Amino acid sequence: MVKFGFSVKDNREINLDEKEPFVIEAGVVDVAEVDRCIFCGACSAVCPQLFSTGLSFRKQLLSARRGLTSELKIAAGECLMCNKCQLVCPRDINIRAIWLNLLTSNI
Amino acid sequence: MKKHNTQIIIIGGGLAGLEAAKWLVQYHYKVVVMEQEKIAGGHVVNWHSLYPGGIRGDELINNIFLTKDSMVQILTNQRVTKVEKRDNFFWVHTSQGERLFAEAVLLTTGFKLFNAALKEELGYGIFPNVVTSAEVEQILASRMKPPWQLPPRKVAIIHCVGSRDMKAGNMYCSKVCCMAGVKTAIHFNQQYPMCKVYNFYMDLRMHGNSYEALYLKAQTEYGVQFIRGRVSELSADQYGRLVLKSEDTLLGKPLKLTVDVVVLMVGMEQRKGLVVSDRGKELAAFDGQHFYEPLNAYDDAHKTCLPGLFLGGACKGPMSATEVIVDARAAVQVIDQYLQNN
Amino acid sequence: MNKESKVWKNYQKEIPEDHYFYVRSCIRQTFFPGAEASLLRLLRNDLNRDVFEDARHTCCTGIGYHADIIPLETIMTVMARQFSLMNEGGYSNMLVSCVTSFGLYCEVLDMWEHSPELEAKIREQLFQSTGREFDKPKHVVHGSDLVYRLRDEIKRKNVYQLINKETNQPLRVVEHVGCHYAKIFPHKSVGGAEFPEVLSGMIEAWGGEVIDYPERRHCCGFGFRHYLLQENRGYSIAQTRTKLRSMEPYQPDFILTNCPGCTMFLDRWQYTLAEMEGVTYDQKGRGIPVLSYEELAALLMGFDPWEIGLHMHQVQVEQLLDKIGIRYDPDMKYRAKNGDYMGKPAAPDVLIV
Repeated sequence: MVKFGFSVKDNREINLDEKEPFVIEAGVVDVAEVDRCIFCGACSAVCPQLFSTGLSFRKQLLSARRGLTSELKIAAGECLMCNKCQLVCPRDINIRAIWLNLLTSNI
Repeated sequence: MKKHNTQIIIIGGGLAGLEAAKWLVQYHYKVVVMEQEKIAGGHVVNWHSLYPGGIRGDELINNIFLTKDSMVQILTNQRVTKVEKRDNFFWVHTSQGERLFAEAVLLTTGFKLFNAALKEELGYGIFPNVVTSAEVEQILASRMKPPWQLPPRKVAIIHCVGSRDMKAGNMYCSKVCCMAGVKTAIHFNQQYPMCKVYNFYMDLRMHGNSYEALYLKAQTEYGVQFIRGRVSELSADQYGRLVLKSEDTLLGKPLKLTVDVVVLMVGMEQRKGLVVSDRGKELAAFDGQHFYEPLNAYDDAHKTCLPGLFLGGACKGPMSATEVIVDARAAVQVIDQYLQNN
Repeated sequence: MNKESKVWKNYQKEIPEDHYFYVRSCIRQTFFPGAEASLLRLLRNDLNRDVFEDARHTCCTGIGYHADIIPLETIMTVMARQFSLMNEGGYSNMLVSCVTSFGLYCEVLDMWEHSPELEAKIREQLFQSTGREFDKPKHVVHGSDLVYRLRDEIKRKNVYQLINKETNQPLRVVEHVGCHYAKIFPHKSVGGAEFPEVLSGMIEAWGGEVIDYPERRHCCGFGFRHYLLQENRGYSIAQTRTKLRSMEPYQPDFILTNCPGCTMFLDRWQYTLAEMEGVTYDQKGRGIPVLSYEELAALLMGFDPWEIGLHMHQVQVEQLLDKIGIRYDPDMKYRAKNGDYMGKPAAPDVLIV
């Protein structure tokens, strides 16, 4: 094989043709509840872990909407379960419950 | 009573003009509405439904006709070229060379739609399944044949086409497209239940009572996906479907999506071609480069620099149908006050 | 696609028929010298056009400029000197071979229009360094503009057409227009930046079918600094891969380009991608041939494929020549003009040659 000294850079594109929005199973999460999210970032702004691990429910949910779920389970493990996010969510999403359910689900 | 002989000319027989005419005749004025199209009704008459309640556009216009007085004279196919102020009256000139007398003139010339072909990257006029919001209203109202043969499975709705766009020369928000975009997403889902709709937006401006609720309904009941990012390239694939390029700006990643139909939410622009003159001198404020400016935006929102010339509706800037009705009614009261004191 | 749309009609430029001062392309000279030679031969001998070249003209320094090693004023002065040579030859129309040069000539002229004091300064600098003065060109025309303008005349002289000899169907052609041709100044192009007409007009005039593919407007990936530094080349090749992947499902017969750099990358990276990832973007493992517009025009007018240097291409062109029915002598492929054998390049592992 020829050694070129470089390799083709990965494509960062979200291909919505190949990836359907990730549907969080009914039972694990109230689907209608996560559909309400307007991605305002209020939850992540008050998340203690945003400061240390970069945890962002907004980003993880939006990624899942675009079919990108690889970090979802790790993110769930980062949650401290303090529930500050739910206090500030303007669309009243029970984020702590979603993280908890994701932790115990087999996604 | 002097009123019966006092002639008011309303230029533009759309929602604002008809609504104002309806109320002015109730004040016993003689009213002539000049409409350049074959029939009166303006843009609204072609609208499938108007938010927030979902009334059909032609129904709204017909409601005005039902209550109208015989004192309203509607002249269609009459394009007004010039409004000429003389001492304390006006001459209104038409393209046929006629001249009509008026003691007060109300401009309700409305708006024209942004020419979507100017946003070349969006392929309007090049790909048949790229349609404007105005065309979709007609398609959904069965007034126009859709360009697609099979029910669309995926639809992209692109907000802010020709609005908030310095290069398009429109540095303003067209105000109604956010809501209309959400409404259209729902209508597509209702008409084609297998359809998945994606709305590409820059900001969603849900600025009224019940508007946010409709947005929530689109999200939760219809699964409409809202993607924050402007579509900047559109091309066709080998099956004639449309491939969109955008950035998901909330994730900071490029995004590709293939759809069957693209709807461009086109903005509003001022109409050109009407000359307003004061004793032979043309007024630059009415050159049609910008929306008409009233004396101020607060308590003199209908008067112009020319006494006796009034403004109503979307010729002053983007307005929704509900706002146009309120604005037209308010103009009636200001015109009456002017004529009483004159 | 609806070509009656107004979008095309908005972008028409004035292209003089004749009398040009020609400036060469560095990349074309180095990698596809036959392409440049065939343009001049075609214009001068076959179409009887007056194209003048001055041996003293130089590189426009565009590559150095985009790679951030040549200052702006230097490139302006170099260009001013080319203008001076043009005046000296008695010409006022510039014919530019390279797309990046073309974009830069347009850009420099535009900058001077907006800042006359900059133009005055460059005039002064040119005079001090060379004793030369200059008039600005009346028209700056890219080689593909002129061939587009003359496409019907070329068609009348064509020996071959873009028709598959066996199926009698038009050949399926994808085009790639160099970024600096229209993306900087859409109004200095034919057809604009979104739906450029310059190459598709030629393809259609000569009998082929233009295939519109989703990444048609994507950059080939040259990117100057991205190619010139080895460790950056991964970004360059990723763009070419995006394009090739996008056109693959249409099974195009060949790629037509108007930019020397694009021809180079769309051609050479097919070899690199084959070695790195084991893929080619056709069904037979031979890759998709890449031609520049001059090479295509010359081929259709009956020039010998080896005389116009098609053996310099990485993706072998014989598959395309056979489809069109162009006669060629396989034995002459690697022979010099005097008949001497030049030696054959080593065969790559994956791409079939």
